[in-house]
Amino acid sequence: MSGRHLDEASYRGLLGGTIEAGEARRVAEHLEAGCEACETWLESREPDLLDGATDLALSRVSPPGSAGNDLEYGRIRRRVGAGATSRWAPALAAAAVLAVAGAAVLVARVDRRPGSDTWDGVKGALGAPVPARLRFSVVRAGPGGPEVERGATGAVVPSDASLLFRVEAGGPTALALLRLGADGTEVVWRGRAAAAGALDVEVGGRPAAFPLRGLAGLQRFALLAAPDLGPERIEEARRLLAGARAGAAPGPMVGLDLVEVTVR
Amino acid sequence: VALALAGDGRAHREIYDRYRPAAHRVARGFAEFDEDDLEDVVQETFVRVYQNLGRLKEPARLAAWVLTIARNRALTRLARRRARQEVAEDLANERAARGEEATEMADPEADLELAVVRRIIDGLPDGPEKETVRLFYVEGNLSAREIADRLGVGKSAITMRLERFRTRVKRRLLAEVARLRGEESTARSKARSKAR
Repeated sequence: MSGRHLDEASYRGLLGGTIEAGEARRVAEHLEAGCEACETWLESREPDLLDGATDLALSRVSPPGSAGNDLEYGRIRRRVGAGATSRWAPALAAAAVLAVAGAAVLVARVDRRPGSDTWDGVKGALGAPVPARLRFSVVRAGPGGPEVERGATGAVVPSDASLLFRVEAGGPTALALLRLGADGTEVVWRGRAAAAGALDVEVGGRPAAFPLRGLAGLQRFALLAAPDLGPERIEEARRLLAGARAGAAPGPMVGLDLVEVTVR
Repeated sequence: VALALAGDGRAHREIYDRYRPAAHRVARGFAEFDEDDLEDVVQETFVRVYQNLGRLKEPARLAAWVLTIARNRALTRLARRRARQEVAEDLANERAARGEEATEMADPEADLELAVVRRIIDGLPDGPEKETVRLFYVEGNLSAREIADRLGVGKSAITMRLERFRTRVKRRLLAEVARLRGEESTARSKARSKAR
């Protein structure tokens, strides 16, 4: 510390606890006496933990500030969800098991809307329907490697399991997978089917499993399919699904399939 | 924090409910911001909080960390507005605030902090700065922008007054940290001598 004013080394020493006792006392005296040069130096710094502590101290002299609300919180959660793909875990081993197990593993019962034997999730007069189905398998770590079971909607699954999803699309379409739980709704995956057929949910070009760790209770996963599935459309569907009774459709021209599990 | 990290939605919500008022107040201290700006700063703050929660090394510092992020978001927004250009990302500063660099900042007691702040406010000479501080922090019902309207002065003048006052508080809190550091080190030395 030159000329007793604050500098980077003394500042970091103070915050990090590496400053020598005598020096700390000298700094304390200097700052308590008031020093415009040190204030200017502090003001010029980018905000750090001392700023947070200062704002916290200042908040204590003030009446409670403006409380939050559900709408704002919902927006924050959606923004976090939209950017969050890190929850997905690589599932290469599980995918290999699936490949060996073949189609039998993937025959998951899909929860269709009541009164509908065949898929008719796409409504409205415009365009051709793009049917889509969501299938899943439950992956758990076993002594000899990943163990994969056919996923059945309505099943109870342990929280240390992951879900491996497969989408079957009836034609080219954009896709989105939403999770709906008691803690809110989030978009967990977005993708595109280039042609009719099945595709595994992948993140970063690799099959990925969705870990259930940290989740509890009923978890619904909704697959949306539409040629044009922009953020607004997803948001509209998300809102409808979040408040919807079972079987509600997300709107015209959006294909929907739902599966649900209870995490325990 | 542990529950939030485990994905507990209620814990996420509690973090928002608990710290949203203070984060909003940080943003309200910038008279250049309108209501939309305030909302954006709050939202950006909590998006960052949730995205980076796993990197917070000291959960006890959650409150200060959230408010550091709020200030960073507010300043970044302000800098963009003023300069009409992108500013450098402030992740490095938030990383420091997460405790990756300054891991053991001595904490003055909350009561002590409160006393420090009150002493500084009481010690301000009567005048525009004291009036601005009183309206913003003590009464606490008006935003900096509203104070500018009420006092009939420019928005930037109000922001500057509040920032000047805040820096004074910051200096005094740092002095307390330094004092605690001196006492801690002395106590450790005495304990070592006694042990020998």
